[in-house]
Amino acid sequence: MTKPTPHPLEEPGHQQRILEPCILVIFGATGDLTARKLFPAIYNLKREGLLPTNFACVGFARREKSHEDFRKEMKEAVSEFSRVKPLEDSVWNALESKIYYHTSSFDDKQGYASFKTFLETLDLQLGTKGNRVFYLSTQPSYFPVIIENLHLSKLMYDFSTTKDKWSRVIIEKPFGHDSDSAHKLQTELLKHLSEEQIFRIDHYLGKETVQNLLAFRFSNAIFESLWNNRYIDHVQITAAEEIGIGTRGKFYEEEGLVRDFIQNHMMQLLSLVAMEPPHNLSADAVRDEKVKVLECISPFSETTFTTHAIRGQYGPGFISGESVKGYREEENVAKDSNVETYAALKLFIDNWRWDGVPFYLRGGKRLPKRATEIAVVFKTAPGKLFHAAKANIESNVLAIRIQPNEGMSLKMNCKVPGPQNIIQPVKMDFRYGAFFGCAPPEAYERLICDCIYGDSTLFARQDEVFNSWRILTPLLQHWESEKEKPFPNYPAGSWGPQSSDEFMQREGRSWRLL
Amino acid sequence: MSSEYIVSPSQIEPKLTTVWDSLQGTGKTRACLFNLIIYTQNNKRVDYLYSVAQKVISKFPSRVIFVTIDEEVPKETLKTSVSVISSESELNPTACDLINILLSMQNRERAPFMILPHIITDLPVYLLWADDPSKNDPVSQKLERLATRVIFDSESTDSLLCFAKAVLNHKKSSGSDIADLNWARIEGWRQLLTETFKGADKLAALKNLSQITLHYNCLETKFFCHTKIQALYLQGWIARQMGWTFSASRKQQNSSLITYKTQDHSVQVELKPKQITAMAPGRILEVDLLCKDGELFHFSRSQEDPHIINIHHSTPTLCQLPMQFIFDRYESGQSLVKEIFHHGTSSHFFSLLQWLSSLKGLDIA
Repeated sequence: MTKPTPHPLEEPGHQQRILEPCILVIFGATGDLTARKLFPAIYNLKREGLLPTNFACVGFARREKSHEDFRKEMKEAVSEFSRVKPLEDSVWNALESKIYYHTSSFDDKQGYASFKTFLETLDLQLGTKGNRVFYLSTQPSYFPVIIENLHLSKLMYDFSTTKDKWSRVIIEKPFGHDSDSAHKLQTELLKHLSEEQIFRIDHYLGKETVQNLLAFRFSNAIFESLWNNRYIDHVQITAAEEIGIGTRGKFYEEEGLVRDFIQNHMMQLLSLVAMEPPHNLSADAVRDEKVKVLECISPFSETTFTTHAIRGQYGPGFISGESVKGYREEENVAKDSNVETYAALKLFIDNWRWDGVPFYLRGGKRLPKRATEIAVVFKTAPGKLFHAAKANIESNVLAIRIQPNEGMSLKMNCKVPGPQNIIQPVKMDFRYGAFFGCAPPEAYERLICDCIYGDSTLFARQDEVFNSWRILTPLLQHWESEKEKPFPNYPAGSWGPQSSDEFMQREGRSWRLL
Repeated sequence: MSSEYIVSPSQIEPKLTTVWDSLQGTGKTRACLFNLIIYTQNNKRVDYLYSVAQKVISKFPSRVIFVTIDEEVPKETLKTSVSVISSESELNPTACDLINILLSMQNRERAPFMILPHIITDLPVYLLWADDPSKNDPVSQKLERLATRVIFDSESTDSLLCFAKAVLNHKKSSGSDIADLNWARIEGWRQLLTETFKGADKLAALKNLSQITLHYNCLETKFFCHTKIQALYLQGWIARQMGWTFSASRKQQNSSLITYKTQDHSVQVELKPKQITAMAPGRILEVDLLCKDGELFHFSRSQEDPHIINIHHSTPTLCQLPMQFIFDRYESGQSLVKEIFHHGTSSHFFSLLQWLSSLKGLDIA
C-alpha cells in the first residue's frame, strides 16, 4: 500500500490535529445530555479553536421548535453548564449562527427526506462537504430505527465504497441490556454500518486521567517492571457517587448499577490497568490489548455468584448532614424493588501476568463522597527486619485518582526521626491541578473531537462490549432470578453494605477508605 | 506576586524557603515543570518579557530565572532578589519561584555561574534569549549549553536574514532545540490555513494561488518596532512549504512586494501595513489568497475580538456563508508554551530559517 502524500502545510507531530469540515447531528437534541454535556462541550471546543472551521450542529428531535428557539435554549444551557464561565458572547455568536434544529420523529421517513435536503443546503452554504457525525443521544431502542432511516434516506454512506465523504455514528451507553441484546443490537447496526463507523462512547475514556493511564504505565519503566503478580497483591477499582438516582428512576429500575457503571466504565478501567503494552498507539492496537484482558476473565458462574459478588441497595440516610431518602422511595421506583445500587465484585485475569491477583471492583450510589480511583496494592516487603520491632509496616499503594482531584499518590513506609525504629506510612502525592493549573477539558470535548477526527481509540469496540457482557450477564441473570433480597441493606451516606466489608475481611483485606 | 526580597546570591534558596513557609495556609502550591531562564539587556522590553513569563507560568508553572544586563548601572553591580509569582487567575492554585539577577555589563560573564546553582535538577531548561542572536554575546554559548531549548525573539533583530543565519549557527553549535516568539505568534494562522486547505480540492486551490495579500499591524510601541516579521514568516512559510522559488522583491510606497515562481506560474505577495491601535503590533490582520481562476479566500481578524478570524470563501459562481475560526486566548503565553514545551524544534520553522538564510536579494526584511 502506498503512503498518502503528506499535506504540504501540515507538520506531523507538531501542529494540532486538522479536522475535516462536517455537520454534527444530535438525535434527541431536547434531552438532558444535550443541554448539560454536549452543547457545553461544543461551545468549549469552539472556544479553544478545536472545531473545524466549516462546521454546523443540527439538533434532531420530535418536539416542534424553531432554529431560534433551539439556539436560545442551548445558549441558556451553555451559560449554566459550561466548565468555563461566564459565556463569552463573541464565541457564542460565532457558533450560534451554525446551530440549527430539525423537527421530526425518529421513524418518520418524510422527516428524514426533508432533513437530507436541509443538510445538503447547509453543505453548499457552509462548505461542510457532506461529512456527518450522527450523535444518538436517545433511548437505545431507537438506535436501529434511526440507523435504518439514515440508511434509507442515503444519509449514511457506505464505508467501503464512499471515499470522498464520511459518516460516523456516536452511540451512547448502554449498548444492550445483556449479552444477547448487545449482539442483537450489533447485528441491527451492521446491516447499514461498518464497525469503523460506530463510535460507542464511554465518557470515562475521555477523562484526562484515564488517558494518562497508558502514558503512566508505558512511559515509566519503574512501574511496569513491578506490574505483575510477583509484586502486586491486589487491585481495587472504586467508582463512588454521593448522588442518588435522581430523576433516573425508570432507567435504574431497568438497568441497575452493574449495567450503569460496571459493565462499561469500570471494565474499561480494569482493562487499561491490566493490559499488555500495545505495539503502537493506534486505535486497534490499544483495543486489541484491552480485549485480550477481558478474554482472560471467566464469566460469573454458580461457584462464584455468592463468593465473588456482593450487591446492595441504599436506604434512607444522610449525605453532607442532610437526610436523604432511600432508593425505594425515589421517583419511579417500585416500593419492593430488588435493583442494586451498589455492587462489589472480585475478578481474576487468567494470564501469565495476573495469575492469582484479585481485581476488586466496587461501585455505588449514595456513598459518602464522589470518588473514582484505581488502587494498586503491592505485596508487603519480605523478611522480618522491621516486623520484629513491631513497626507499622504497610503495603505500598499506588492510587490513581480519576475524579475528583485527578492525580496519583504512592504510599510508602518511612522511618520516624528519632532513636527508635518506628516506621510510619507516608504519601507522595501528585495532583494535576497543582502542576498543570488549568482545568482539564471535559471528557465529551475530547470524544466529540476524536470522532470528527476519526480516531476511535477512546471508544469501545464491539468485542470489548461483548466480552464485558459475557462476564457479567450470568451474574445479572442470577440476581434477577433470586427471590426478594433484604433490601435496603446500607444507609445512604455509608460505604455500602456490611456484607461487603465482611467479604473483604474474609479475603484478609479491606476496602480503602477514600 | 509576593513581595520582592533583595538577598545576597548565597541566600537565594534559603529566602525562597522562608517565603514559601510564610505562604502556608494560603492555598498556593509550589510547582515547577521546567526551568525558564530569560536573558536580556536592560531595555524597554523587560516589562514585556515579564508579561510573557507571567503567561507561561499561568499555563505551566516553572522556576523563572530572569537575568538582566544593564549598561547604565555601576560596573560592580550584582543584585539578586527573589519572589513568588502566581497565575493571574485566582482559580489556579499553583505558584512559582522567580529569581531576578541584575548584572552590569562588566559583570555579565558571571551570569552562568549565578544561574547554575538554581537550576532545578531533572527538569528541562528553556532559555529565552531576548537579544539579537547575531550580536556576539560571550554568555550566550555558555547558557545555550545548559538549555534543552533556546527561544529567540526575532523582534530583537534588524535583519531577519541575519537573524535566520545566526539562529542556525546557534543551533549548530549548541545542538539545542530552537523556537522564536514571532514564529509562535503565527501558530494560529498556520493552523487556520492548514485546516482551510485540507482536502484534495483545497490543495489544488492552494497550488493555483496567484496572489497573496497580507495586512499587518504596523503600530509601533515601546516593546515592538519590527512589525513586519510575522507577515514575512507567514508568507515565507507558505512559499517554502509549497516549494515556490523566490524571484524578486521590492518596496513600493505603501507596501512590500515579493514574487515567487511555481512550476507553471508566478505568485505575487504583497505585505500591506495598516495601523490599528487596539491591536498588538505586528499582528496579521487580514489575508487574501486569490487563485488563478478567481477563487478567493479572505481571512480577517475581528476588531472586536482579535481571537476571532472571519473567513469568506468564494468562487466566480459560488459564495459560502461566512465562517469563524478562533485562535487561542493567550497568544503570546499559550502559543509559546505550545512551541517550546510540547514539541521539539518545528521542522517547518527550521526549514524556513534555512530557506531565509539562503535567500539573496530579499531586501524588505
